[in-house]
Amino acid sequence: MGDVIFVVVLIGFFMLCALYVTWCDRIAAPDGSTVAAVEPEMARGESIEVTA
Amino acid sequence: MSWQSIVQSLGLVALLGVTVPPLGRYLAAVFGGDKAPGDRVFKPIERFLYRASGIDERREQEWRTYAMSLLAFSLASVGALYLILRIQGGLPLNGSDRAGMHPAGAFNTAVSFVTNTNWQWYAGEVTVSNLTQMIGLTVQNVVSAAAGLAVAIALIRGITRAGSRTIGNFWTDLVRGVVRVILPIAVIFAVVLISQGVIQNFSNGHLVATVDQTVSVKQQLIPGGPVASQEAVKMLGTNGGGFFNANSAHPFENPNPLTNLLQIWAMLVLPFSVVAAFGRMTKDRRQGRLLIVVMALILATFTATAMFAEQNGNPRLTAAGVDQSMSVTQSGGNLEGKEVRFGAAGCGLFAGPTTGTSTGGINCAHDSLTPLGGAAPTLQMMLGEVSPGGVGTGLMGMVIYALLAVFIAGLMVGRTPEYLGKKIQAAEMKLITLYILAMPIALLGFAAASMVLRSARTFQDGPHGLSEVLYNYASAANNNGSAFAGQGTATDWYVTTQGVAMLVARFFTIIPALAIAGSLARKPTVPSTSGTMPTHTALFGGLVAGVALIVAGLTFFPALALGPILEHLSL
Repeated sequence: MGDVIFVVVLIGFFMLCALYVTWCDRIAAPDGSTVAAVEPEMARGESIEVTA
Repeated sequence: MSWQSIVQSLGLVALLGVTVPPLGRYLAAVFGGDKAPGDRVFKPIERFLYRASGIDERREQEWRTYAMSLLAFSLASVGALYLILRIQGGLPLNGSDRAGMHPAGAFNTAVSFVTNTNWQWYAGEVTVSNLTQMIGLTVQNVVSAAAGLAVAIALIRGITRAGSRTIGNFWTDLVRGVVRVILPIAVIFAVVLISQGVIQNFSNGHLVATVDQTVSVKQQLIPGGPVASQEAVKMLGTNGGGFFNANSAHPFENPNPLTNLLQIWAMLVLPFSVVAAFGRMTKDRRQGRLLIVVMALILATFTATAMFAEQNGNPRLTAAGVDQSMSVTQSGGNLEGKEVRFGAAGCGLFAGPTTGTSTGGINCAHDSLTPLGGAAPTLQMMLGEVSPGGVGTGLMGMVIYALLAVFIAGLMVGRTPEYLGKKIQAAEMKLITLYILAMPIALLGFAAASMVLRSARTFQDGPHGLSEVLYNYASAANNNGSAFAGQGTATDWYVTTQGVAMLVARFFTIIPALAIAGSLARKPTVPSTSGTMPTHTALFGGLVAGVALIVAGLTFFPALALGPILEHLSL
């Protein structure tokens, strides 16, 4: 019984990791849409300078 | 501090100064160049391994595939080691009749060695067979270090590439790390250790009569086994799991002051060399040098604190009339839990690097350290193992802090955050946040639960009890492996939760780091302008160190105040 529990825990954890990979990939989306809404220059890879 | 301690410290610095630059150059050639020293020897071995395992060495992977390959390899490794530990009683080379581990113990040990933690809830010489040591634990010592190295190399590629969807191939990086880096150096180091008296045999031990026949115990088993081969990679791979329960305090693992010094060097050489390789691969060696200096200063600060605290002794013992002064008959200091061959300061000199890297091997009992001497390694682990950290994972952690420092500096001075020509934007910052949160959640969550659960009360009363729980989860949640072993952690609760903490610490940091690598690799490299903050200066180095200390301080100060700080003030 103990073996079954720990094998399930291990497989479950690594499945969670696979989901985490998918989530992180969504965060690291290449289109930069999240940034573009705020700083279009940054999304285009241009340097911006903020002055007071 | 004794002159011997100072000589050892200076000798260590000299050894590292001589070995890190060429090894960094070698690593950069192995992972970044078309040609590398030893191609004639290593290429045929690699080609054979690629052919045997169906790897196409020219096929590169996106970060997701790279991460999934690492996860698949780790799951297979945990499964294989779990099976070996469970059935070792029926396997050969088990002359001392070691039984299979119980499921919770096998889970903890398998996870521990695959995640490069090497936490040991058991005593190796009475629990694990020689075969398990060789084909189970030592193999994982090698490949888990190589996996960490692969992640660092992938991160470097992410920073150096522009407009690329790929960050390398996990399988080829793993094979190169094993074949060209870890194994050759470990073999040479094992031979050096054997020459100094570390044992390497298949003996099941020798039963001998004790010297004093008037006491009840009249016989003692002197253990044997393939120690040197495991010891070498234990230190080089920042693993730390000892063949014997006493770890590097055991004379068969660490026979003399020379092996002690070499073992400390072995813990540090690869983590620092990976950072040197980072400088070369990014074509800006100043960047690597700066991170090395930051890592070294943090390491030196915490190591010196532990050395001074232990050499100064325990005021309670002084009050009780114990002579803790240095003399011709004793090295002095707080000698409780120390190996007298190495002394109190020698313990501190080992404790700093073993917790600054993710090694976790010990040459003294860390639970016997003074409150201040114990707080230094605890806090060093809580920094996230970046001084200089594990093989590869240390650089990974320090680059994350550098990216965070760039972002904070950008906010302060009103510049777009850039690091080595890459814009640091919202996506990277979200991933950095995920990276930084993983370890404290595992550490503080399980530590808090242990403090309130009645069944988990295996720690001492008072502030030292909290110090024990904090240290032990800091160790698990940073893949270190050393212990405040006065607390009994061989219970189902600790064995299971520490196993989970090790898994979270390893994979919930590596995944966002690889995602950052993938994100940065896709971006163009922008030329530096007058608006770019230089990241090779002492100012930036101070900022990176400050960020690391402030993040750890804000996260852990309340818990440290109730544990080691209160304990120190109550002395």
